[in-house]
Amino acid sequence: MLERLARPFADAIDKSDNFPKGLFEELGRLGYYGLRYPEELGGMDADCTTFTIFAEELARASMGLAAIATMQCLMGTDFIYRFGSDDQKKRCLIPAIQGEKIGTIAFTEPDCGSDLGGIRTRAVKNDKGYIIIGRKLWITNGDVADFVTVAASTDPDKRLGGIGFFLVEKGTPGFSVGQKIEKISARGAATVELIFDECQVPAENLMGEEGKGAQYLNDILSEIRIMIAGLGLGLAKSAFSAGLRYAREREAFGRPIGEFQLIQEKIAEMEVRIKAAEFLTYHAAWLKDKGSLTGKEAAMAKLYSTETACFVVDEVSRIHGAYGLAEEYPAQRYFRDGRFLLFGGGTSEILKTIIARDTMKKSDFDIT
Amino acid sequence: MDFALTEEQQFFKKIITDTVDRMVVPKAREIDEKDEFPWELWKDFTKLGYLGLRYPEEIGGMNADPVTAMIFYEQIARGSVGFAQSVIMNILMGTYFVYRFGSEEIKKRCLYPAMKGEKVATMCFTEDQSGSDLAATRTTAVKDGNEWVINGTKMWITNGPHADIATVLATTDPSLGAKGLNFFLVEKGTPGFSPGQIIDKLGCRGTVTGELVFDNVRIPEENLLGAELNKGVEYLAEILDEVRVMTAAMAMGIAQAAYDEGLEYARKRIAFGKTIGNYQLIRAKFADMATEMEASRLLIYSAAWKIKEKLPSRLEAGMAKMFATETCLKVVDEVTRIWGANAFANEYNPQRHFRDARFLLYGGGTHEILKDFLGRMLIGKS
Repeated sequence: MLERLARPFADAIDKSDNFPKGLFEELGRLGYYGLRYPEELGGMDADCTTFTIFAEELARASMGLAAIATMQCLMGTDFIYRFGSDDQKKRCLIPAIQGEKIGTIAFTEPDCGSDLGGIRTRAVKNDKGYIIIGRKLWITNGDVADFVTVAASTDPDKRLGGIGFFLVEKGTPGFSVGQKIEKISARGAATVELIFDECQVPAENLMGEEGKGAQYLNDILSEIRIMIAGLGLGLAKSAFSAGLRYAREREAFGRPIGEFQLIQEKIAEMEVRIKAAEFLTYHAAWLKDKGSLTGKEAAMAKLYSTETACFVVDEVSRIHGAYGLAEEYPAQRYFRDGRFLLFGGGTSEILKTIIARDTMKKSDFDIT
Repeated sequence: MDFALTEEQQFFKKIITDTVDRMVVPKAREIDEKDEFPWELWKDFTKLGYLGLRYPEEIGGMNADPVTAMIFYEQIARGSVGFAQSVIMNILMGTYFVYRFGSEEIKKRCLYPAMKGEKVATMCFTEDQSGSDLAATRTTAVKDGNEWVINGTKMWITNGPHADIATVLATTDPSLGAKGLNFFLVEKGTPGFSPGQIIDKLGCRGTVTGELVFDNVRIPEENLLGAELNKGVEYLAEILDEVRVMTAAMAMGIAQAAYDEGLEYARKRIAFGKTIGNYQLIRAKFADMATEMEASRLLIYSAAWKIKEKLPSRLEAGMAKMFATETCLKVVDEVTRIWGANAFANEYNPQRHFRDARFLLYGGGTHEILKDFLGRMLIGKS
């Protein structure tokens, strides 16, 4: 479906770096934003495996669209689904599932990313609810979002223990869009700055309880990581196909370059790593569906799959020779898009420390 | 064994480093964004005489030895690889054959102005269907009376649309394969010689890369750049090592620029209450990067020294090109990781270095071809 619907537009989405409104709405009409949500809400009630397949196929078509759509399916709407009032669900979640409203989540700030405890955005309680003050950066869909789930601290001294998530809707006084970040990857999914200048929200816009934000986020963190692992797989497969095609067509020294051993080595290495990434990713999704996932499996899937994607896009650009630089071929887009996967959901460096710390706690015989 | 730069080389390094910091570094981002030949910078920079870097003083050159030349290539690429590529094309590949084989008349018309930046030079090997495989060149040169008639299309030509003088690889006898190749001088304005499409590309932007079309281009006999016919590949071999080591030096320029950005960021960015430079995984990146950059430079300078001493350098030049370029790719990769998501924001430099480094993979031979070639040299023909 995405092959037909989105893939032909991947280049145009990348070049224009504009929000693909038509495609976004089309996916909504087809019901995909409700993949993870129950049928009563207009969702598909799909399991993590199915959602991962969706992420993979999205990324295979267009990383820009994938960033937009996965935000809508997961991080941008999940807190409202879990903690929103009926009224908020009616106003935000259900239209978002239908593709009529756009949701996003805002963690990152200019000076903190993976270190969530370092956020400076404040939520100050008053008699009307909370006043949100701060700036967020790198917010996917931020310029088109109708509602945002914002991480803010009610007690900065408590670091992670002071964080809560707050729903802020478009039109709320003090809420505005700042600069747009021009970037090399996942173009089409605008990443922008959001400014909260004494933004008053009612008490019910606190999603869940004060100070429990980090815990709530942790509930979906593994799912986010598996989803990004799916994006890595999609990108890797898409690039791999392009490399294969070129290796079959391009001739040097009187033979297709695919007949040379050094090119064959690349093909074999890429295929093996993609396969391994696929197993790690879908194994983690399967564990999630069985209810026995630990954070480590999701971290391993995200680490390995995204690193594989970066390896594959590198090798594919080498197979293309100088054409790996030319805008008329997709190899350069894959190469740029690969970087997008390295940071969200935890950098590779942070994931490695998570995996290692977990392993260090275990005795030798239960290392799997 | 003496690893030290001479006093002259050290002095040269200081001057060129300062010049690049002052003239080129501030323009790098604009050059990348506009992807247009930076004429103004070209005019200012070429006034300084660097385009004659390798040529004798008698003809207005600087008479720099290969080690000094490598220092230059690294520094200019540290400033802006797009600009460096255009400059180096005039210094080395674009003018070498004219210098080596051109008549005095040709030198007056082409070489001396190119050394002053008044003419833009280029070299045309690559075609749509042939790159490293030179023997597959399809552009032909046919003798007609006392003229050569050139027909063919060249691709990926640095400075292509702006070139005043082009050294063109063509075959005079396709049945001879690589042994039928020769270089010919074609000047702008010659009927039938015209620029084709420009390639919109990922990295090394600002040096305009494009197609050049030769449609029945008639040039005089003396425009064959070579003492003898069908020795083109042998003549090319005279500068091949220098071209490969030059590419390695450019790689170090990009790597150094990226490394410096990484260092600054690791020292100021805070995560979990400490600057990220306090974490072992980040420190390890710097240890690896610095080690591999040091090793690359040793390979570069040692290969350049061998070229200077006219010692065999084919193997060492290939090693230097491959190792330094791979090191550069690793450094730009690690620096984007150190920068986190800011690494793909266009307002910062790491994404530019990350894109630019790819440019060095291909010229002078892809690494797949170099590995095969080095392996063959080491194992020997069976």
